[in-house]
Amino acid sequence: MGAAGATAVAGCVSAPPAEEQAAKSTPQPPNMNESPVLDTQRIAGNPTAVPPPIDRDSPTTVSVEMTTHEQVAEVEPGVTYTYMSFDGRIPGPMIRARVGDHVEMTVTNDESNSMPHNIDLHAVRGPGGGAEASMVAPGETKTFTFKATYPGLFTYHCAVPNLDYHISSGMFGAILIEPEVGLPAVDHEFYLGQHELYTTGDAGEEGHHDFDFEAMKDEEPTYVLINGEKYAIGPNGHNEMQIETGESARVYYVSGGPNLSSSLHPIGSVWDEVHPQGGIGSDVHRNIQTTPVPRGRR
Amino acid sequence: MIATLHSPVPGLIKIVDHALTRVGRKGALAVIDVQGDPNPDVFDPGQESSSQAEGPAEFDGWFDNVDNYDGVADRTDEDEITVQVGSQANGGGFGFSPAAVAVSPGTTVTWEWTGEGGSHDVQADDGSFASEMVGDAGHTFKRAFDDTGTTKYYCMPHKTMGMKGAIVVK
Repeated sequence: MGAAGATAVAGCVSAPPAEEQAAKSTPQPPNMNESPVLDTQRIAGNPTAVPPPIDRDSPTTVSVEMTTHEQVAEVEPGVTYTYMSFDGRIPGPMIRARVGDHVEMTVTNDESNSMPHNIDLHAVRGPGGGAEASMVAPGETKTFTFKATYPGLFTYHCAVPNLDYHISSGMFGAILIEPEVGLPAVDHEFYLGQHELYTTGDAGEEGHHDFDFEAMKDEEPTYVLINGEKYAIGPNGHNEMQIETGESARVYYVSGGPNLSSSLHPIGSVWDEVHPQGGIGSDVHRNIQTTPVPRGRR
Repeated sequence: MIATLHSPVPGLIKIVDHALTRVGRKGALAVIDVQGDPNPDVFDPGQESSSQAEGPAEFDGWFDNVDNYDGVADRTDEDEITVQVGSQANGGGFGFSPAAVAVSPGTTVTWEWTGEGGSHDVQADDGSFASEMVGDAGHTFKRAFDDTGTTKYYCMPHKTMGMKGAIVVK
């Protein structure tokens, strides 16, 4: 086809009145935006919201339903952002299945949304990890099915054309595929997700932050967050990770990115065991101080 | 590094740096094209393939999921034409109108935002031009088309919903 047919001549021409009008939805600093009403008081996922360990000896079909949301919430007090999410939490719900299971994945795009969404699960063998099969416009629902053929903890994320914008806004999570023999028993399991947010403001600048494509291209985030809000999980936020001395805790950690990797270290402790990059099947690494968590992995 | 893979199902396997901004905006991508029979036990897309061509062959299926495509509007006798951005189509304010339009060489095309459907942009499929992404009624973006040929374009946020168009210069 005539790809060379178009030649740039006029470029972008916009009259001043149009520019003034455009100021309403063109990305701009927080102090230029009106403060919107919060759609939700909490976008941070509860780290104890982990599906129970699987004690089945045979495969089954696991049905998972998720709804995508576009909601205004606080990054920290006084700082708002229009998040995108699976089921209104960051990271999105943790999925748990077993090698040999079929996972029936249903994605609904809430009818109040303005953008298409879908899901690419790294536990899927198939085109785009299911992205094309689950592409939904606002108000639509789609279902596809895949077989879990390998064990590990895997990222899932929205994968529409502006996927880095959608992931940066919160659309990622993790799916655990247990090996047939299961995982060793522990006293606690926690689920956390890291990602970075690129906005028109500075960290802590009060007001409503718009997304900043230029900052994302430069890979210079405004916030790097765990569970979607600044200091969301802990004594100064939601103090939901509590254990007793002598108890064991397994942390499922997903790095959504879209661009930064994490160097995950427990200050004042050490990782007794690490499954490198979330894969299950190799020997575990023991007594690890800091483990890399590449974006798009665990 | 050394790594191996295999695929029990057909389709594209895209090799990327999962620092995803480097993929979509900076070019880090390579593709393995896996050919073979479908294997629905491992992957069942849940619906019939969407690659059933409905639009004319000259657009290579570009308009297959564009519900406001209604043939190529003939505007070859005008020096300047306007295309609406955010017209009612594809389930909301997610259309270009007219979706496909024929013009003569030297014609200036003005895209004018309706203010419907959120923020939109206008991006050439071949990368030859891209507008700002804005959402407000009255915003405009202009291009002059001097050479004959077909230029496909789309709105990045809503491309998958069918917000696509084409300018045919003849």
